[in-house]
Amino acid sequence: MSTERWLRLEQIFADALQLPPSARGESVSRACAGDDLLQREAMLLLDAHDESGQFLARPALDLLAHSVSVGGWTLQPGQRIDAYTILRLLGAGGSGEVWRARDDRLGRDVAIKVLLPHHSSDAEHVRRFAEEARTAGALNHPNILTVHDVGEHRGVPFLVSECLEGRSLRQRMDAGRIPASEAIGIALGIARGLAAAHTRGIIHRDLKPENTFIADTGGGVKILDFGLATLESSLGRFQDQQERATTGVIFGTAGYMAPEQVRDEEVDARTDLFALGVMLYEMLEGRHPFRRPSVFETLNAVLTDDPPPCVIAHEEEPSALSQIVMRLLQRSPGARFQSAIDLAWALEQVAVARPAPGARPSSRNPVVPRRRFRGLEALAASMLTAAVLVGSWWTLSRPPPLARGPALTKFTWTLPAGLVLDSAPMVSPDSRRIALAGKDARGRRLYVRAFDSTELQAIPGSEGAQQPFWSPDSRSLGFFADRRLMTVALPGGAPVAIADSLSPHGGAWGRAGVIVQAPDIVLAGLDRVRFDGRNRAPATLLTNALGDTSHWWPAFLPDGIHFLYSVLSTDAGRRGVYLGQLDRPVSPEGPPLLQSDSSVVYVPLQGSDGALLYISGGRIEARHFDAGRMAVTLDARTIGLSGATSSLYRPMLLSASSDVLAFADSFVPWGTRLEVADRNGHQLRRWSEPQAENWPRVSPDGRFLASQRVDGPSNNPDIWVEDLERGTRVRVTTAPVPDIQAVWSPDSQRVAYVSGNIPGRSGKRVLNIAAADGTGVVRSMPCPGTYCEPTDWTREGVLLVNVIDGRSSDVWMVQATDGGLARPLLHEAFDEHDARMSPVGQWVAYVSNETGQPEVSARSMSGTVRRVTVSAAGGAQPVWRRDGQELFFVDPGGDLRSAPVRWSANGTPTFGVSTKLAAGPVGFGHWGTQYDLSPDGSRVYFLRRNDDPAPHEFHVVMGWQALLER
Amino acid sequence: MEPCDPPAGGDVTRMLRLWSVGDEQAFDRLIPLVYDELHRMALRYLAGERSHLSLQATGLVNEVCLRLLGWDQARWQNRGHFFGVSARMMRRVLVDIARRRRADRRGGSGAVRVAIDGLDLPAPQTGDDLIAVDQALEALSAEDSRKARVVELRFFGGLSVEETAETIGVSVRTVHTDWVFARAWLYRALTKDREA
Repeated sequence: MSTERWLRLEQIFADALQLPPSARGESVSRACAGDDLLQREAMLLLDAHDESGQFLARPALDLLAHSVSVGGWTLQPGQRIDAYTILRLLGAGGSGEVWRARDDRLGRDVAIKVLLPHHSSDAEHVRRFAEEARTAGALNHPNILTVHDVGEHRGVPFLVSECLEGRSLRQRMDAGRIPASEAIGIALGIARGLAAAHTRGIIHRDLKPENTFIADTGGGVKILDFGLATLESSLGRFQDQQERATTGVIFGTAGYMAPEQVRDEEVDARTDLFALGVMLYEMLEGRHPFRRPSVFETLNAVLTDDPPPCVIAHEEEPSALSQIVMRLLQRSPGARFQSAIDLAWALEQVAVARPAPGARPSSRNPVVPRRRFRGLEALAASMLTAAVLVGSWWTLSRPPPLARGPALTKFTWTLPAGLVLDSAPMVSPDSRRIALAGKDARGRRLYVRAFDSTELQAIPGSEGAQQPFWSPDSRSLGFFADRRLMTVALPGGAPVAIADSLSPHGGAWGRAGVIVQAPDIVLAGLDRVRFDGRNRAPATLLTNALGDTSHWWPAFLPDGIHFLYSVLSTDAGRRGVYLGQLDRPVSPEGPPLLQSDSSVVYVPLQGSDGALLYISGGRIEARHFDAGRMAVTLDARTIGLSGATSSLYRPMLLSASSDVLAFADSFVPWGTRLEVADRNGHQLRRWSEPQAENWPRVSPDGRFLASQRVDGPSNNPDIWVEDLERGTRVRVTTAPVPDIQAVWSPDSQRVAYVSGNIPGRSGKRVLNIAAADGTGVVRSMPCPGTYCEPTDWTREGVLLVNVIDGRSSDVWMVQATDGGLARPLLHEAFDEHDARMSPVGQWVAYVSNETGQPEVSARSMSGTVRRVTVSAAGGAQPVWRRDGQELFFVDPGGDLRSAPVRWSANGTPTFGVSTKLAAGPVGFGHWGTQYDLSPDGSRVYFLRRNDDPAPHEFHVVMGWQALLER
Repeated sequence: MEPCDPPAGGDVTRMLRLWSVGDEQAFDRLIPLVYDELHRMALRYLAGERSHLSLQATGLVNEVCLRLLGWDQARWQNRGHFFGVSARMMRRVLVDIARRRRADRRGGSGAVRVAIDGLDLPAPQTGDDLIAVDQALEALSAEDSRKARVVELRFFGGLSVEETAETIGVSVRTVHTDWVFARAWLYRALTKDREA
C-alpha cells in the first residue's frame, strides 16, 4: 500500500472509531469517496478491531508462561513414550497431567501422570519421588494405586500406574451425602493402605479427598500420589503455596494439613492420620471441620480450634465413631491414634457393631470468626488471591494469645507491577496503615495503604522520597527528599520541608513532637528538630577521635526523650546500638547496648517492657528492653522469620507496631558483591553489603581497593576506596554523575577515573585524577574521544586509556602529570582496549579483536614492534602480576587464567601455556576489568553477582507478639 | 543461582553502541552473546520458578538486560534505548521458545497454539500463536515500521504506553493510536486465512 493510502486508511480508521458502531459505515463510505478497495480495507479493519477482544492484551511472556503451565499439554494423543501410546487426557491439576495410555507390550491401558516442569527441576527430589512412588506402588496393596513404572520424558518425570475407572472421594462427596457405613468403609480402606505404606516408612503427607480414589469395579478405595508431596516440598513451602494460591488449589491442601505440618515441624505417620480424620469428619458431617472463609483462618482454626462435635456419628453411634474422629483430629500427634493399624482395628470394631445407616445432615452453628481488628482481617481477606502462607515460622508451642490482638497470620503483599520497595514497609503505630517509599520507572515516591483498603495510594508531592517514618499519632509521615527532611500530614496534606539533610540515614518522630534525624552519611551526629522545623540542635555528638564515623538510624523510645541509634566506628567495640537522650547531646559512651550490624526497631510491649527487633545473620531477632532501667536483657530470641540481610550500610527493611510486623526479604535487586579468594578458589572474605559494584582495583601497595559502587541513597555510581586492613571506606567522587573505572597511581596516593554525564545525556566525558583519601579532584582532563576510560597508570606517569569514537576502539596515552597531552598508542584497524603496561620491560598487554574474537595480546613498546597473542581461544581483561612473572586474563567462559611469563635479559617476554585458576568465575559482560590481584598474586578480588531477589513484595505478620512467647 | 556470564570483554557493549548508531547487523551479532542467558531466564520464568506475582514480564526483560549488559546506564543513550533493546531481544527469544515448543510437540511439524487471547476468555478461535504474530508483525513493519515497533515494545517487551512513547520518542497519544490500529491490522492479518 502506498504511504499516502496507508495514511488515509489510518485516518479513516481513527475517525470511524470515534463514532458509535452504527455510524461508522457511513463515515467510512463518505471518507473513501468511491474508493471501494480502501473502503473495504477500512471496514475489515474496524471489524477486526471489534472482534479482537483481549488480543495482545497480555505481554507475550505471560501468555507463553500461561500456555506452558496451563494450556500447553505436555503430551499429545497418538504420541508414544517408551512402550506407551498416549490415548487421551484424563485430567490435569496443580502438579501435573494425567493421560490414559496403552501399554503396547502388555496390551493393557494405563494411566500416565506427567509432572509439570516446575515439579521436576530438582534432580534429588525427583529421585526421591521416584523411589517413594516405586516403593509405595510396588506394595501391591489393594488400597494403594499400583505404580507400574516411573520414567522420564524429555527431562520430565512421569509415572505409569494402573488405570482406574471411578471417581475421587471429592467427586463422591460432591455427589451427595455419604452414609456412615460407606464412610467407615472408605476410611477403613484408607487406613489399611496407610498402614501398609507406613510400615515401609513412607508418609503420604498430602492425603485429601482429591487423591483418594473410589474405583467402580471392586469398590475399592485407592490412595494416589504417594511420593508426590516429597517432590512438592522441594519447591520450598513458600513458593509452593504461592503457586497453589494462584491456581486456587490451596484450600484442598490447607484444610487437610495437620497442625505440625502447618508449623512445618516433623511429620510422621500420625500426620496422615489427622488428614484421614478430617476426611472422615467431612464424610460423616457433610462439612469440613475447620473450613473458614479464608485460608488463613482455616489454618488458624487447624492450629487453635476444636472441631464442632461430630453429630451424625453421635446420633447413630453414641461414642465409638465420634471418638475415633475426635481422636484423629487431636492437635497433638501424641493424642491421636499412634498407628494406622490401631485405627483400622478401631474402625473395624465400629463397622461390625453398626446399625443400618439412615442419618441426616445436621446444621450446627458455624464457628463465628472473631471480629477484632476488622481492618486487619479485611486486609487478610482482600489479600487472599495474592496471599502466601508459610509454615516455617509458625513455631508456636501453644496457641497465640487471641485475647490480645489479631490472630497470628502472615501474608505477603506484592507491590503493583513495576513498583519496587525502596524503604522498610512502615507500619503505623496504630496498626492501621503501612507507608513505604516505592520506586518505579518514574522515580521514588511515598505510598500508603490502609489495612482496610485494597488501594496503594501515592502521596502527592512526595517525589524522591526515601526512608519514611511515622509520627507517634499515626497522622503524619516524616521522610527525606531532595536533601531535605520533610513531613506530610495524612490524608491530603502537602509535604513541608523542615530541615536540610545532606545524605539522610534515618529519622524518627518522638512523642514530644521532636524529630531526630541522621543528616549525613559520615562525620555527623544526629540532629533534633521540632516537627515544625524549629529548634534545630544536635542530638548526639560524634567524636571522630574515638574512631566513630557515623550515627545513623534513630528509633524513639515511648517516652519521647530517649532514642536508640546505630554507631559506625572503626573501633569494633564501639559499633552497635547506643541510647541517646534529647536533652543531653553527647558522644556515645562506653560499649553499645547491643552489638549489632543492624539497625533496630523498638516496639512497646506491656508496662515498661519493649522489644528490640533487629536482623542478625538474615534472621529477625528480638530482645526484651526494659525501658524503666534502660537496659537490654541478654537473651536474643529468633522469632523464626528471615528478613533481608542488613548491615549498617543498609537499613533494616523491617518495622513493627504492637500488632503488626512488616518486613522484606531483600533489598538491592541488581548488584554485585566483592569477594576475595585465594588462587585455589577458597573464599577469604565476602563483603556483606549487597551493592552494585564494578572494576575493583587493588592499590600497588596492596593496602587499598578502589572500585565503583552505587551508593544506596543517592543511587549514584561513585568511586570508593576501601582500606583493606582497617575496613574503612572513603568515597572519592561526590558529583551526581557516574564515575567509572578507577586506576591507581604508582604511588597508591591517587586514582584516575572517567567522570560521565548524567545518564541519557550526550557529550564528552572527563578524565579526573583525585586523591585516594577522598580529599578531592586534583586535576581534570578532557577525554581524547567521545568516550574514554583509563585502564592503567604507568610508572612513567602515563594513563593508558580506551578511546572510543564512532565505531572503533583504540588505546591512547594521556600524560597524567603535564597538561594531559594525549596521543594514540594502539591505533589499528581493529578494536584494541584494556591495555596494561608490564611491570618489567616495555610491553603492553591488551585486548584485540584482530582474529575475529577478543584475544589477549602483548606488544613491545620500544624498538621493533613485536606482537604475541597470549590467550589461545579468546581472552580479555589482562592483568600483570606486580613482578611481571605472570599474566592473568579471563577466558570466554568467564574463568580466570594465568600464563607464566619469563623475561629474557633484553626485556623480551616468553608466555607459557595458561592454566585455569579456581577463583572466580570473573565473567560479566563489561568492557573493563572486573577483578584484580593482590600484589603478590596470591589473592583474587572479584565480583560475585548478588542474587538477592528484587523486593517486589514484603511480608506482614499480624499478631507477631505470639512469636515472642515461646 | 549459578553464575551465568556472557563472553568476557566488551562485545556486548560494543555491539550495542554500534546498533545504536544505526548498524542493524550489530544487533544480530549481539543476540548470540546474550541469548543463552535470556533463554535460560525466560525458561525459568516459564517453569514457574519465578513467581508470576512478583515478577512481571517487563521485570524479567529488564532484569536480564541489566544483568547482562550492566547497570551502567551511562553506556545507554537513554532509557528508551534500553527498552528498545530489551524488547527486541525478548521478541527473538520468545518466538524462538515458541518454535522449539512446537517442534518438541509434533516432532517438528504442525502447530501448537500458544494462545494470545486473554486468559479468562474462551479459547481463541483464531488459531493465533506467537510465531504467527511475529510473522504478521514483519509484514506490518514493511507497511509501517513505527507501528510494528509499538507492538514489539508493548507485546514482546511488556512496556506500558508511556514507556513505549518514551522509547520511540512520540507522544502517548500517538502510541495509543498506533497500537489500536496495529492491533486491528494484526488481528485481521491473522484471521484472514480463516475467512479464505
